[in-house]
Amino acid sequence: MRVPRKRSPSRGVLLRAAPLALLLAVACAPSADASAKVQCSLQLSPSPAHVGPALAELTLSEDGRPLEQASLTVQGNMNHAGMVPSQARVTELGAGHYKAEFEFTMGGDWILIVDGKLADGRSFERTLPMPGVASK
Amino acid sequence: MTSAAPARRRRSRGVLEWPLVGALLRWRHSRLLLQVPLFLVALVLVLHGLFGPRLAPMNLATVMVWVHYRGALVLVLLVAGNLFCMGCPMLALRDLARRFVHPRFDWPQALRNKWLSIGMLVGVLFGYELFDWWGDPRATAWLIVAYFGAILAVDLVFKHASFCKFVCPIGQFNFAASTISPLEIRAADARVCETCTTKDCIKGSELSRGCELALFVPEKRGNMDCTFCLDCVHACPHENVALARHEPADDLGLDPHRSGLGRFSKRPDLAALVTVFCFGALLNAFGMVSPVYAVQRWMAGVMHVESEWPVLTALFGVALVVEPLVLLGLACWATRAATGSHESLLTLGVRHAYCLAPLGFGIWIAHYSFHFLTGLLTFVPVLQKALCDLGAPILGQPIWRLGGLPKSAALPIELGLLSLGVIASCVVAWRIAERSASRRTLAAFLPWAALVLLLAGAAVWLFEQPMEMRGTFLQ
Ligand code: SF4
Ligand code: SF4
Repeated sequence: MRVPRKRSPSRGVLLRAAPLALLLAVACAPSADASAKVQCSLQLSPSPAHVGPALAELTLSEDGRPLEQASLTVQGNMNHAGMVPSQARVTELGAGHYKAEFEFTMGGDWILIVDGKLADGRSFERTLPMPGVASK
Repeated sequence: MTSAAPARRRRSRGVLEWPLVGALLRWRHSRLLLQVPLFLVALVLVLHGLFGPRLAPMNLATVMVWVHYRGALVLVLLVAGNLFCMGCPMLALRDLARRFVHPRFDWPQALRNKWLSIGMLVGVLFGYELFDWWGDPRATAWLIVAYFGAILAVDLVFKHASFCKFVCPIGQFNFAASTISPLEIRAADARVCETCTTKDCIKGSELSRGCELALFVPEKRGNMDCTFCLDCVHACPHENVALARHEPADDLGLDPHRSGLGRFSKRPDLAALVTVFCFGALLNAFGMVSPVYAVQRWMAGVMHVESEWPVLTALFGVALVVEPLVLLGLACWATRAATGSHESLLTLGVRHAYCLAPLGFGIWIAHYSFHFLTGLLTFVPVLQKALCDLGAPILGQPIWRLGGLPKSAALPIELGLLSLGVIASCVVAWRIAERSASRRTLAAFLPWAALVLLLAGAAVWLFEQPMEMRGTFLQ
C-alpha cells in the first residue's frame, strides 16, 4: 500500500501556478496551422493500384464545405530513394473535387504529396499514403 | 635506422609514379584528402537524416547512402580498387581520437578470423530488410552514427586496425569485392625487399606506422584485407611499394601463403565470407522484387506468424545457410565422385568456394549500378530542396524530373556486368580445378561451373522480375 506523502508548501505553490503557466503557454504558442481543418481525401483508380497510369480523385473540404478553385501540385513519390517522382496533371472537376493523373512507375509503397493554395490564399500540404502498389 | 637502397633499376611503382595523382598519393597525408570531404559528407547526411524530411526520396541520407554511396563503391572497386576504405572518414576520427586515447589490448586470439565480421555483414543485410533502412532517413542517420561509435569503441580498446580486419561489415564486403579490382599494393621489386633489413612496411618507422592489417608487402598477394591505407607506401624507406596492376580475380585461383592471411585453402572463415558475399548478393536482390512478397506471405502462413522478423530469419537461414550448404555440398560431392578424390567435403568446399567471389561481385554491381545509374541525378533536387529549406536557394528550386538512365538502358549494363562476373568465376573455377586435380581438371571444374551458371541464372531471373519495394510485407 502506498503511504500518502505530506504535501510540501512549495509543491502547493507549484500546483496553484500550473493552470496559469498553461494559460500563458497557450497564449504564447504560435498560432495553430491556418489550414489545419482542411480535409483532403483520396479516391484512387485503378483499385487495387498497380504499375501504369493512375487517376487520383482528391476531395478538398473544410468543416464539411467543399473548397473550390484551389491551385494544387500533386507529386507521387516512392517510399525509397532513387526514384524520379511522378508529377501529376491536375484538373479541377468542381464542388471541391480535383482529378490528378499520374503514373506508378514501379511497384511498392507510394506516397502522394499534395501541395495546395486555397482560393483565400492559405497554403497547405498533405501526405497521402498509397501502400502496396502491385508491380503488374 | 634504415638499410641502404640497392643501386639497381627498379620496377615501376605504378600509379604512385603517375604525374600529379602519384605525387598526391605519395604525400604522407594524402588519405586525408579523401577522408575529410567524406567526413563532411557524412556529417551533412546525419544532420539531414535526423532533421530533414522524413520521406526517403527527399532526404540526402537515404538518397546518398542507399543509391549513390553503394553504387559508387562497387563501380570504384571495379575500375580502381578499395578507395572507399582508403577514404574511410571513420578512420580519420579514430586516428584523431587515438592521439588522446591509446589502445592497450591486442584483439583476442579466438576472434582473429572472419566469423564475427561475417555475422556483422549478415546483420546489416538483415537490418536493411527488417527495419527498411532504405526508406527511413532517421534510421539511416543513426546507422552512420552507430558506425562511427562502433569503430571508436573497438579501436580505442584494441590496437592496430582491429575493427577493419575483424569487425567491419563494409570492410569485409570491400575485401571480397576487391579481389576483382585492377589495382593492388605490392612490392615494386622483390629483390629490394630481400635485402631490406628494417621491414618498416610492417613494423613502422618514424615516417609512418606499419601495416595495421598485418600484411607484409613482400608476402602480400592480392587485395584481401588491404584497405589501401598507403601506410606501407609512406613507411618503406626504399620507396619500394607500388600501387600497380592486378589481374582481376587472378590470385583467387592460386593458393600461395599470403601474409596476414595464410593459405586461402586453410581458411574456412574466408571461404564462408566469399560464400555469404555471393549468396547475400542474390538475397539482397531478391528483397526488392515482386515475388519476395508472395514467398514471405506463404512462409508467414506456414509458420503461423504475422510479424516480419521470424519470416525474415527463416528466409535468411534458407538463403545464407541451407542453400549454400546444399549447393556447395552437392558440388563438392560431384567433384569428389568425378575425380576419385578422398578429401573431405569441407576441404574441397573451402578450396573451391573462392570461385564464387567474381560472380558475387557481378551480382552486387549489377544490382547497385542499376540503382546508381537510374537514380544518378536524384540527389540534385534533394540537395536543392535542402538548401531551399535552409533559406539559401543557391542552386535554385528543386528540379524533380532529374533522374538517370532509363531502366531499359540499365538492364543490358546489368547483364553485361553479371556476365563478366560469370566468366571470371569460371576462369577461377578452372584454375582451382587444375590445381586440385591436374589429371581430371575438367571433371573437377564442371560441378563448380554448373553451380556458377545456376546462380547466374537465378540472378538473371531476379533482374527480369518487376521491382517492388514495400515497407510492410504482409500487405
Ligand atoms: S616494402 Fe617492406 S620489406 Fe620491402 S623494402 Fe619496403 S619496408 Fe622493406
Ligand atoms: S598493405 Fe597494409 S599498409 Fe599497405 S595499403 Fe594495404 S592495408 Fe595499408
